[in-house]
Amino acid sequence: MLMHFKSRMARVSALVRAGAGAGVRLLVSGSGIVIQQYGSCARACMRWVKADPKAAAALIAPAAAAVVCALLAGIVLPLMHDLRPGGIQPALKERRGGAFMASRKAFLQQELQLARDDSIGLSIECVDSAAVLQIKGVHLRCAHIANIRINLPLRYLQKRYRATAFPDDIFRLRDQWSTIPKNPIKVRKAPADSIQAGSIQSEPRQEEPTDVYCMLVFDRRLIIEMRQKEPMALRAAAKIGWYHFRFGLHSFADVASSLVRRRLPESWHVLRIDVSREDARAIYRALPSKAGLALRLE
Amino acid sequence: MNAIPQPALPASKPRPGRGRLVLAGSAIGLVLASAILMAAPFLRDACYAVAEWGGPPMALSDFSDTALVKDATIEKQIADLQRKYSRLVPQDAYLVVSTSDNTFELRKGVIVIRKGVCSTGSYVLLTSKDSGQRWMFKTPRGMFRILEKEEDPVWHRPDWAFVEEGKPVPSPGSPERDEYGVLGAYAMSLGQGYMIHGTLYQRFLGMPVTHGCVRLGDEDLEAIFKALKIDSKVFIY
Repeated sequence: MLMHFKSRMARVSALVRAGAGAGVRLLVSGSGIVIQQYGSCARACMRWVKADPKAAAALIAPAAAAVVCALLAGIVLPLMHDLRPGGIQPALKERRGGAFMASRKAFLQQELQLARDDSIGLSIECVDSAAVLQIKGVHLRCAHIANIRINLPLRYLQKRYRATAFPDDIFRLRDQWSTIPKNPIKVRKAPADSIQAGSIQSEPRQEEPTDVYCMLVFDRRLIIEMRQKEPMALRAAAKIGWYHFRFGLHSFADVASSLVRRRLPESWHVLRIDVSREDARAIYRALPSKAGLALRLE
Repeated sequence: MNAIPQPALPASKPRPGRGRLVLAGSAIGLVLASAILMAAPFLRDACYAVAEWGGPPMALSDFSDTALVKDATIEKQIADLQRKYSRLVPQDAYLVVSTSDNTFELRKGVIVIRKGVCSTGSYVLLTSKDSGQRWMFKTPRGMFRILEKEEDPVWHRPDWAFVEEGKPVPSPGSPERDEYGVLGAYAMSLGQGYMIHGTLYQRFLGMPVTHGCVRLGDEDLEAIFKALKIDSKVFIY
């Protein structure tokens, strides 16, 4: 019995070894073919350039010019714009000096401004890892932020000014995308008579638990990405990928319109926060279309 | 001296396809440029990493002595702002309702006196077949005030209550519209037909089932009715 098992195991391992060997050989030969193809293509191009340099220049020059223009306009000049001293936001000397206190003061001023609004607003305090829904100075819901990530432009800004680096004004919501509907509307047609009404099941249905992710686009090029801290299903992840693609298109349109208006495109400052699913859902649904945001980074 | 006859050079003709090559080059360039512009934000992000390697973005010399001296002033300003901000919280009892979780909190200042479950709007959009009218059963969000308090309230059924049951809608003011006992022992009006009241369907508490009102359990309703006065604030989110 043992011998039989051993011989079967040996056969299986031999098969695995053979399979792996064949795979490696296939990979090597495949990449060889690719290299050969590209090599021959490059050699053909070189031959063509040597044979007819003017024709080659006629093809390559406009393409290269467009690429260089795009690199300059899309990357080099905006970076120069962002990285020059005081380029993104003018920093107050006071704020740079009394870093922590000044950022606290700026945040309180933002919160007071938020309290003047008649609608619900959001305040995010990264120091305390708290996202708070509030109206008229009353904290309605305080969500603990499990994880905070900021993109490089925002991190650079934060390090540079050691404070909020934003003026004391609150941010205003401009656009929002989410994996859940803002209002979970269920359409129901009125019954024709009381008999039909009696046959309709009146038991309420709880909303199905769906993964929550939302992208809140504010003015002054600030984006808050809020997502649940619990792991997400593949479908929601695909939807998030789609939102990022849409944001890519939006950003492309933004760069193009800036260039048309002869202005340098600027960077987006992205803050990503992970909160619990319930908190994310409650916050997203409570925020009105032009909600205010008070933000404190450091 | 005899000149060696040279073979006649072919007349230089404009090369066909040069214009096409320029066009093709421009088209390729446009495609590549679009791709670069599309990826520009991400590429710029990556460039910031390089900028960060160049040293700390802020030198220590930037923390000037004059700025540090100002800290005492800022502390006083912060204390003032903090005082101003904390004064915004109502010192009387007020109610906070979550339509997302279907829960409530009765608070006084920042202290939670009582909390529990409630029922809020079901987000059903009812459409009438005959008139084409639509009713959205949602609880409004924002800040409200208690406008009226009533014991043993009578429900004056609106049109949708009849449409929902497939019954003919009676004329306004008809006694058919009055229903007793369905709103529980107390009701508090928030305006525009929205109320905080009790329910016969206690088992649905904690679920979004109402037509826009806030339903509470009997004990919670009594406690809230006693705690809130006319003009007390109700926050719904």
